[in-house]
Amino acid sequence: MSLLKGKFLGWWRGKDHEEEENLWQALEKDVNVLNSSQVQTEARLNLWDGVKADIFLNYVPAQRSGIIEKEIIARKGRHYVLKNGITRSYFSLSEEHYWIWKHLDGKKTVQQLIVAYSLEFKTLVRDPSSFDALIDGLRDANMLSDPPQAIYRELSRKIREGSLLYKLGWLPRILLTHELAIKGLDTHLDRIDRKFGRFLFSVPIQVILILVSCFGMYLFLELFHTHDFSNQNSAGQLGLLGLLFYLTIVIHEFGHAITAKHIGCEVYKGGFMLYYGLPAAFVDTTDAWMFGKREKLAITWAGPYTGYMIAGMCSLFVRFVPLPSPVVSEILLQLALFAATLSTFNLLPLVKLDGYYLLSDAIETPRLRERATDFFRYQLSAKIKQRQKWTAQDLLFFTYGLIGFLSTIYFTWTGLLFWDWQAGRSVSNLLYGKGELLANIGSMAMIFLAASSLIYLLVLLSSGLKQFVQWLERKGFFSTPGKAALVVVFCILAFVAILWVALPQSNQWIAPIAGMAFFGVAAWLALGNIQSLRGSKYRWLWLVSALGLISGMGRFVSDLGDKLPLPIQLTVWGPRLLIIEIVLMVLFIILVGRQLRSLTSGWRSTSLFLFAAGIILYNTSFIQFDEGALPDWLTLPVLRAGASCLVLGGLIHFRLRPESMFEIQKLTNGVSTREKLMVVYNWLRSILLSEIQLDYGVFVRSRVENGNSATRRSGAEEKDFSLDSAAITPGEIGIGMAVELDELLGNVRSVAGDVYMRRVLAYGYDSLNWDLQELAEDYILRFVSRARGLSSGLTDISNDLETLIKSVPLFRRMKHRRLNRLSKQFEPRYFAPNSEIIRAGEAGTTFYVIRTGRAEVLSADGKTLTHLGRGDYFGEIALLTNERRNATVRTLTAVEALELNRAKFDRFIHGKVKFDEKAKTNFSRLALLRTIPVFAQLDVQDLLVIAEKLEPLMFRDGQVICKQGELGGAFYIIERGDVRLEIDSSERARMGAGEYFGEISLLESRPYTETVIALQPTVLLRLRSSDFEKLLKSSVSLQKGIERTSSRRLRLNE
Amino acid sequence: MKCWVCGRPSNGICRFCGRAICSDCAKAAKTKPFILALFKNNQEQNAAIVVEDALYCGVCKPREQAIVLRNLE
Repeated sequence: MSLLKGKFLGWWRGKDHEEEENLWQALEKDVNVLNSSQVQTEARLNLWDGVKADIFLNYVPAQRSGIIEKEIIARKGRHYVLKNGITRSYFSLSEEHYWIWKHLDGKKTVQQLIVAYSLEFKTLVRDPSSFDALIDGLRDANMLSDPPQAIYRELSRKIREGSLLYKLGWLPRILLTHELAIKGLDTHLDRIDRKFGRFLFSVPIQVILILVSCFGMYLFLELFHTHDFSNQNSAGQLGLLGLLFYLTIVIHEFGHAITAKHIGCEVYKGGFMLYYGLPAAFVDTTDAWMFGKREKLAITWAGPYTGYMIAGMCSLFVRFVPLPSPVVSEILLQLALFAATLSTFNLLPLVKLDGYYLLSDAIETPRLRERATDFFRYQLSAKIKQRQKWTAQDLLFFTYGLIGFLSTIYFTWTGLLFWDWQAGRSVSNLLYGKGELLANIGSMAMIFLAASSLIYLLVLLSSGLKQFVQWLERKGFFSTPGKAALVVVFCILAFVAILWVALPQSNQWIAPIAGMAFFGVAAWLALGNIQSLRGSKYRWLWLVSALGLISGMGRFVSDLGDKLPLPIQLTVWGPRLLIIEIVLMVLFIILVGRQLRSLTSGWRSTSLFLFAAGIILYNTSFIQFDEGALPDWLTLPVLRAGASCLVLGGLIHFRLRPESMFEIQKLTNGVSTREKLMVVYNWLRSILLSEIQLDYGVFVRSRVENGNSATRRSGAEEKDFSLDSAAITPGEIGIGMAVELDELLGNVRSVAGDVYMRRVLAYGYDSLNWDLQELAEDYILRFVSRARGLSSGLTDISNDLETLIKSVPLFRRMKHRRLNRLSKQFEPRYFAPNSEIIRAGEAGTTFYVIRTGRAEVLSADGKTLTHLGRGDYFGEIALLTNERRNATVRTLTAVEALELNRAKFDRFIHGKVKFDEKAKTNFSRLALLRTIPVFAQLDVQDLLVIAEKLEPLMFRDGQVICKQGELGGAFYIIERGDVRLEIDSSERARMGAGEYFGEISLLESRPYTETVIALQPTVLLRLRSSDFEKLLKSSVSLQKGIERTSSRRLRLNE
Repeated sequence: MKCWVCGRPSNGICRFCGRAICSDCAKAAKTKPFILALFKNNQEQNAAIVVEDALYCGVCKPREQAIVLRNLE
């Protein structure tokens, strides 16, 4: 290895060596490390490998000139900080990374650097992406000669800034955070430091200041207990307080800045800012990175220290200095209060303020908060489960994280209480105040801020709760009634405990608003349960409860009525709404009681029981509240427990599934497709039957399961989905299952209705995992017409059917809705290869469209006439007439065909479904045209084309229709009425409905041989020769058909 | 085609690399602007026609730093 290293380093340093075949050179050849012209590599890179290498490994990074480097020696080790004075960016490097930085000379590629690094530190770099991250980081921090490029970030920014919403939001953005930096701040601070720094930071002065601060703070604490700081009510006083508060912030930031300057930092930026709408100050002391721990701690401590100094000095003044007026004393005390409060708050290590950075720098653990969070999220459970040893750092992160979490909850709650108090005062001021403009504006701003904060918190809370419930569901906490009950009890107790601690008494606003919120959420869940139970009579239960809850909300509004200066008296509604609520809730409890007897599924009964318990508890405690029968300490918790029961009861019902989908997943892990199909089929069946039993009872369930008397097949063989036979493919099994499922769905539908059937099927389908859903779709549900609409895949199948059907000329002009309805009349049929679908000579009543597969059409004598594939159709005449089949259709492969029988078609045409009148007319004319020899042999599509061109004409009694000798120009069919044919004024014949004349004029341009006169009001269908010629030109098949017919007629005439 | 990230049926293809992605994973990955065409405009500035919210898989790494293709020299 030393030989290899020697050779490599020799090359590295540019010395010449004999090219001996050794291990290192062999390695060089293999990995193509060296890009030197001195070494011939065996493997030449192709273009794409080259591009790949060019992306990163062949990149040659170079240091930017003018970068300042600083070595920082700390307790935990040494690290380095780079500084770009022009762009004012910084980058921290560990020792190893600093070594890499030193070798970025613009001559070595990244690949060479990786190899050198490996040799230097005797560590194999398995993952070059760590180098990638370092190089990218250096470049982004402007430490490399290549400038950073952030194409996508720039693009996103430009797009965002170009949007109208962004432009309109300029004001909120300014109010949110906007900096007003003082120009040349560094210069000003430098001047101040030169004049006063040496004095201010001298040891004697610092000692004095420390003593002043300590003693002053002691006095301040004494004064704090005796002085009334809240006696500031006027707008002027409030304004002065605001100014004082702002002054303390400015002094605080000045403390940081001047200390940083004195130590030698550059203070690039500082000044005034708007922070979430409030005035604030800022200073940028990032240059402190270039200094050690002591300097950083000093700079960070300077801010709070300044605040304590100010508080101490002010207290000393108030105590010992005779002040000209009490106002001055008040101002000084307020200033002291703000300074001390701000400093103390800043020293909290749990939020990212000075205290946090003091802690993080003191223990030399940067990014403490983020790392503690990562520890909780990614490492804690592994540490506990695997019983790994905890290091000191683990303990630190755990402790910090836990305290941080608890304090977040505490601060959030305290904040809520503050806003509650503040909002209450603001609302009172607006409603009952003296009407001072400034006070009103302040109150409205306070309410706006309070409401926005509350909404934001509620959104966060609801998102967190939702994730928590989903997590519980994933972990199977709702899989059994017992586990669900545990969760529920825990939630109730936790909620009551939290409220007990945080809100021992409800104020006049919180109680009704909170009550409304609870009832509102419970009502929303109840209404959601109605929707989720559509089609079931069970859903009315939840409607009753929802109405009761809504009336309960109204009662809370009426409670607020006497607090709101409204023109109408809301309080009178309170008792009435209470009565309505009680009546509905009692009704709900009665209905629940009846249902509970038939409920066997634990989760549903759990949720209903919970809901009922909530109603009873809540209303009992509410009544007791006035009566005083319950001890006070119990009343409120009972009330809150009742409210949470309501919410949880509704939530459980809303969220739960009868069995966890993960149980299904376990059953199907690692089994074959057939076995999975079995599981899926049994699952869907069991869902259907269990839901029917829950809602309709055992008797109805058995009826549905076995089929009612109308649908039961006599002598039907038992369906055996035996998986033993290898000859049965999963596809065939699926088809069989589809047929059974379809029948079961039909039985469910006949008992409970279409909405219920679809809802329950969707319920079963949705509870499957996605891959089992796919399996169910591909093998079973695609053949179940009632399953269409369950998923986009099944809807696509339905759309495919419509596309196929629309290709049939018979239905081509049908509108989409009707086509959709017609497609539901089609039933899929499956034919094995080499089987007959229809046979020549037999009576036919069905029409087919081929969906998949191929078939051949055979004449009566067995000659192959044509082949059919997807989209082809046959048997359409059976829809219109009673003719026997004129051909046999035999499958060549397995065929899936869509079958429509005449009965369904007739019902569709003539039944409740409104059919297009024109199409209806065309169909009826089709039958008429087929009776005419000229058209008898034409195909249906040709006949339809002709039928469309037929014009109805009305003739009155005695009217001449055509004259003998006139040049024939049209062909007529008698639709209604009678006509007389005359030759040379003598009657030759009479014709009635369904007969025709003038057909020769279609085939040959000859004059009419008779005069035709209407004998009564007559309707004729006329086809002009000109139209007929156009049709002939446009349709080749029509031409051929007419040629056949005319040649036959000519032969006959001859 | 199945989603590259989670293996479920996919709904789209990443515009940058061609990996299939389902809607849930795409939502988590967030969209990215995609450059359809680059050209110099009348003011001789580099301009691009972009798709503001192209589908992105979150797995591939469209590099922002241009690379010099030495093998094409």
